[in-house]
Amino acid sequence: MDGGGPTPVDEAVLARKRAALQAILCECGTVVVGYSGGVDSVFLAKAALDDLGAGAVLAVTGRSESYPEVQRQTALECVRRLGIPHLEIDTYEMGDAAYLANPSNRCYFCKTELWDRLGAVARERGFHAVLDGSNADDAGDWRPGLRAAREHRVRSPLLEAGLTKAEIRVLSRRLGLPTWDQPAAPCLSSRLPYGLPVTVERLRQVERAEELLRARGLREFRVRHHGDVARIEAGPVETARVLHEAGAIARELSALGFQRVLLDAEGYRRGALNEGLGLVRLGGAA
Amino acid sequence: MTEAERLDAAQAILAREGIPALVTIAGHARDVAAVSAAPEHLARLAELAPEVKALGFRYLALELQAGE
Repeated sequence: MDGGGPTPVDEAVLARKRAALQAILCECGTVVVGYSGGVDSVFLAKAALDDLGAGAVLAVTGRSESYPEVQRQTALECVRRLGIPHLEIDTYEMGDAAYLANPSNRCYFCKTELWDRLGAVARERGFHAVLDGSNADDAGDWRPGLRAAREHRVRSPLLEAGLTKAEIRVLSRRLGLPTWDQPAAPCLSSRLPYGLPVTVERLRQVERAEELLRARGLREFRVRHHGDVARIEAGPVETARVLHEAGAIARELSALGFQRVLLDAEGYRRGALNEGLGLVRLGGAA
Repeated sequence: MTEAERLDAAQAILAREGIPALVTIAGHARDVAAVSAAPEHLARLAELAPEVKALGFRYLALELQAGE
């Protein structure tokens, strides 16, 4: 997002897709929404609230070491402001050796744990369906987590309705959702290249490094963890800021245990660790 | 191509472009080409990234010096 308005959309198409979303939600009846506090899940939870009513919706957040605290605070603030029924539960993907090994289908193991637990919540509380916030843009991406969702019969109403990220941002803005221009915010493990084992210490290093950069005004960026190296991917505006404050940033990140601090020449790009994925041996299922 | 040959080739690309720089290998997977160079060369490094990465690196990055 550039700080201006969201991307222009075809209004007729948007109205048709929003109607399709409503039809899907009504078909589900009562829903548990997998809720991270990101653009998609906040919009989905709000749409479900508007279309089904508060008694038919429960937004559930899975809390673990890989879930950034800043994202959790956004999630909590949104449900409070919007009046969406909400539940936090603990998830235990960090107890799964297959997840910790960090294969390129790592998300499959995490989402399997998440949907196991959300499915149990839905059954115990009498909700008919479990929903995730996948959108139409996710369909063509490398998303092993989608396989876990399918295996658990989790529905993806935004994807089914054909809503793209840009369209979700437009609808979110019209609803006054604070997340409409929020950058994508995947879990902390996504900062570790496949094959580098996931540890609590590494996740904390990444989280703390990103907190430090956020405090310096950076918004669109990632800190990628390469063992003893921190590689910063930053958007165009952020890149200039990193260069201007390079010495201080290098010192701060070094203090977290990184021996070298690098600024990627090509800048921030979503899914950068999926580049050259064919070179990575796939582990286990999915 | 050995690691040393990849480094020499990357260094040669930067020298050809008139960028005074030192290239080293970084990262647990030894797949990051880390360039010590003046910050003003970053934009040119971005343009050269595909050529350098074709040598077998996955990323091209500028080293940030704590002393700067």
